[in-house]
Amino acid sequence: MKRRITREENVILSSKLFFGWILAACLFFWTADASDYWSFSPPSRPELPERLHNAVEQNPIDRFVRAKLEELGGLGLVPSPKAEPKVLLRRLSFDLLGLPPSLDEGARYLEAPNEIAYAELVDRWLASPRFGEQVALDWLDAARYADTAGHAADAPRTMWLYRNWVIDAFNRNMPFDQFTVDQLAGDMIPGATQEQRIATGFHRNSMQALGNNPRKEEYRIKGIVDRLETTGRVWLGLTLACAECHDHKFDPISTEEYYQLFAIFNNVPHLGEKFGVHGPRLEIRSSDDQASWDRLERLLKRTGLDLSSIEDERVGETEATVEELKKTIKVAKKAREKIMSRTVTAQVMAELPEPRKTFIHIRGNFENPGKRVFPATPSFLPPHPEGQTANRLSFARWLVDGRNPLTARVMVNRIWAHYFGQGLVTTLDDFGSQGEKPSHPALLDWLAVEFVESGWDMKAIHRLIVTSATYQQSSRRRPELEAMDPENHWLARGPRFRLSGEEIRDNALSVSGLLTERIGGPSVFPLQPKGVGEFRDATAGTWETSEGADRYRRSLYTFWQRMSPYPGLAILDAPSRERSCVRRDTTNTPLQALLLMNDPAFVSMADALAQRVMAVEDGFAARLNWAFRLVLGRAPKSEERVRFARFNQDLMSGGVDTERKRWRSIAQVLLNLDETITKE
Amino acid sequence: MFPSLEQSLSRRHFIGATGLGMAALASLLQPKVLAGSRLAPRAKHVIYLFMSGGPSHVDTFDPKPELVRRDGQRIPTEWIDDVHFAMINNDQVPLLKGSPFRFKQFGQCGASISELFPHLSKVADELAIVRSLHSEVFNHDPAVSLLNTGDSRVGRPTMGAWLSYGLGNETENLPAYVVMTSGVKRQPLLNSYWTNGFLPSKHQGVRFRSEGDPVLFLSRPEGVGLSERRQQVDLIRWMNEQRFALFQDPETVARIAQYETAFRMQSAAPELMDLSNETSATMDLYGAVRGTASFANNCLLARRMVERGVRFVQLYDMGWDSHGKMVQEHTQQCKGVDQGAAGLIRDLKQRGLLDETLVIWGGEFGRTPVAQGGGKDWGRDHHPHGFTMWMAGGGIKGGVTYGNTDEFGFHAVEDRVSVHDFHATALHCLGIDHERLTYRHQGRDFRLTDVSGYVLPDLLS
Repeated sequence: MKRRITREENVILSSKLFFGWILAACLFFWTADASDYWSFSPPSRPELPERLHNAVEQNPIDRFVRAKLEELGGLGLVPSPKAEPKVLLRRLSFDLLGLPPSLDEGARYLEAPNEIAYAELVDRWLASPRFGEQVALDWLDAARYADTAGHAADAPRTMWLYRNWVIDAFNRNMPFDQFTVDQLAGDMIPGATQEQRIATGFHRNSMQALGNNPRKEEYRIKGIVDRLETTGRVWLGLTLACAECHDHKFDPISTEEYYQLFAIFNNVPHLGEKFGVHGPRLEIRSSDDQASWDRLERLLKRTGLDLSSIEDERVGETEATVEELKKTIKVAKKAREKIMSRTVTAQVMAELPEPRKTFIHIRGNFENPGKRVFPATPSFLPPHPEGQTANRLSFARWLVDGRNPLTARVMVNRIWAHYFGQGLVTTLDDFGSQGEKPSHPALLDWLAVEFVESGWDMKAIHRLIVTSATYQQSSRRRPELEAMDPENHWLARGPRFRLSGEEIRDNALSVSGLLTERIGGPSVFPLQPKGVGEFRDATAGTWETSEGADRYRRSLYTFWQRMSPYPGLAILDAPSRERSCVRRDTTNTPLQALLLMNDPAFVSMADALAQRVMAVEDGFAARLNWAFRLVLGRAPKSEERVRFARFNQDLMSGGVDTERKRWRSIAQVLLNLDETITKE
Repeated sequence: MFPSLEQSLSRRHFIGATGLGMAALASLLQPKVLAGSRLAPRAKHVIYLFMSGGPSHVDTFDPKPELVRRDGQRIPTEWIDDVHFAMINNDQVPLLKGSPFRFKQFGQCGASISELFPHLSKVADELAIVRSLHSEVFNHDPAVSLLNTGDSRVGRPTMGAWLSYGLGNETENLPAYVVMTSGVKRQPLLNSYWTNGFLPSKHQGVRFRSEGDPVLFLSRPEGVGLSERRQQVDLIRWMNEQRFALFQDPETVARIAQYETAFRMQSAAPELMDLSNETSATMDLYGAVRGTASFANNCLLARRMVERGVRFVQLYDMGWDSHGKMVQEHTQQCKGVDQGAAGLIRDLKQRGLLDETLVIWGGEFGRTPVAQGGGKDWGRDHHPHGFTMWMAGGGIKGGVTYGNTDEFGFHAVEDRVSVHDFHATALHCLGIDHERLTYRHQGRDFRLTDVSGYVLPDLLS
């Protein structure tokens, strides 16, 4: 074999050096005990760093962040001052509610923006039903919630009761351990309630090939692989997928251990086991409907029996009876159909009474079974309770028994990222050796222990973060910060990043006065260009835009089609939800500019905003003032007044002939500003 | 006390290593920033024809008489001892499957090309066919990621993003990096196929649709005239500049640039997509038909993009994943791309654009020389151990066939070419030393070619 090469002399990245590095990493993992790795050893509560005598911060978070900055003293990073009250107000409102503050609430806070007023705001907003909707969005990404089944056919299916459950759980501040167990194994809890069974929709969000797919077993397996991948990502921060085909190259999980976990999830009834390709479902009806349903079922059974017995005996004189029975059956079936149309289904988990046998799939090929394995948890993590066979329920409880070194860290890290745009561990879904190390290990551990010891109180962690001085810092960049820490790992400034697609749309709906604040319920169909989001499934009808209030619901209620997601959100980086996603990209593209400037849906919001402004105030200056306060939470500066007045004049002389059109134009400008679509 | 936008830009440009947003900022004032060191460039643009799903090399550009001769025999086990198949069952020894398609030699160079490509055969003297690509990655997404980013883990910047970052754009009216798709959807295309990774977000690929508006929401709302829109964009820009002065966030600057591009795209994109001025001779050359969506139309559009200054065009043609019905599917797939690709090369050449445009053809891997399944619906599985790509145009020596696989077309054995070598060579054609086009992220410098890759002089003109 001949090889001709050219090598430039100037090697910027020395290959030798890099391979040395890799080799060292490999050696480390071969020789070191896996449980020595930082994320696999249980967190213990670190001592709080000394309170700095000249610092006002009381919050433990700040003491850790401060201590880190001191430790990095050489970099000369100092914390930023507190953000301006009106900036902070908007930041907090978008973070906790996903919506801008109302004018009244804003005005009240800004009158006396002190610590007490801030704490009151935090309490009020944590108790708002909007809070549950806002944090549900992160969870629904992680849970790959969607209204269609994915794959080529992408057929619609009813999942929204699960979404309701998530929103409600967050609003009731359900402890995270219960939140976990209900979703992973609610159906297996003795005396499981209907709600607990709905919660298990979490793992029924997996994509599912419906209809006449010839590779049914393959797709059943794919569903389990997805459940493992999702569980690994969401609770353990581990990429389990690698071990499907080979021992994990980087983390201490063997293929055998992978299939032991697989065995835990391998008992959902499916296919031959009564439920067809769909898997188990709950049918939920009003109590009246349920009573009628049961009656009809009994009747149909009876008449069916009668009919067959008559036919069996071939009794001649009963022809009239047969006709009558047939008629009864027809009527009853019709009545049943009618009730079915009012019935809501929920995809849920169920467990086979007799577990399936699980074998290692050699190189990930299910048609090539190897050794038989039994349900168990990986050996590098704390042991599963002895003398008890692992199943979905015991596995879920094991995740949140407080000894698992990953669960609490992974969850508080994601809550952290909700506010700061990145986690203390930046790889939100990888706490293994290929993931990044935490920027503030002590803080992460302190939060994780606090989370567990508080009884897994999610709102408490949210409160802790937003009441910290670290969170409340100004997000203005400073030259020395830019040079030393452009990505803000050391938290010497506050977070500033673009709002999510949902927040951008909900904000526009809110300030234009169109937003419908109804909570929960079936998915809705907001306006989208014709032909873009048509259902792939020929039997599913067409995308009929919702009328009236449903057109203007919060974005998380948008009917989510995995294979052609709503463009107004997808263009702004909403994931397709084909797979679990714990970290969205935040891109910045010309397509986003076109969306916000030209999408008829956004244009109609600008138009509504224009009308709203014109209805409330008289005179250009007063209207502009009000519009600024509404959209930006602040009054226009004098320069801005001049520029907008000139803009208005130019439109007028350019032939934009009605006031409404000019205000629509101004409203469009306001809705497109960096300031409007950014959490500052 | 805050530096002005201009001051800030030059400072950041000077600092350079601060990374985040540097190129985004600098490009506002100097759109043609060069981040990698410059060699003598031949090509300025890239048109990358990506055969998504994996085209079979042994049925297209890599004839294997021995494979045909031993058709139906078990493959000797030493070939597959160490091999993972994606779908073929590993506990049976699979059977060799010769190509049912005839190969002939074409052009002065005498390159062997199968009957599936009657048009491409006629431009054989323009092609540098590389038969010895190889990798270890046998699933679609990681393999596409490897070909696009140099790493099988999803999330690194793609080649188009690197070039947008390194060379900037030559037009302010269209994105630097445009993606179009065609073909039969057998597995999905993911947004990560054209991601900017950790590069500033303005470098990500922009996907154009083949029918109707090339991107959604391109048309101005009813009643909003061009001058009103210009005034709106100007006011948005002015407001955003005020915000930048306050917060110094590079994303704000990227946003200003994106609004400007969006504004220009509103007239440039419809003009780009409008084929009414193309002669019927040109349409016929590609086999393009107005008002339809096809790979051929996309090829013609790619030429129009290059003419207008777009840096990197990637055309995904879907449907090459022939696990079954190989004969039927590959016949259809090849027919779908043959004339368009050949027409593109001829058209670029007759317009004097071929010298400055690097054309690349290939998939994420080849297909197994052994059959998957049997009967008339036999197929071929994913095959990364040896596969073919070709390049043509700027910087490339035409009429070359480089490297070889073994007698069955299984392993690349002679002049083996890694994906990094391929990237290094492509960058070389664009005048970039692949070891010096770097970006600092999370504490280390990253490159498209990761930590290896050699330029292949035999392919260079």
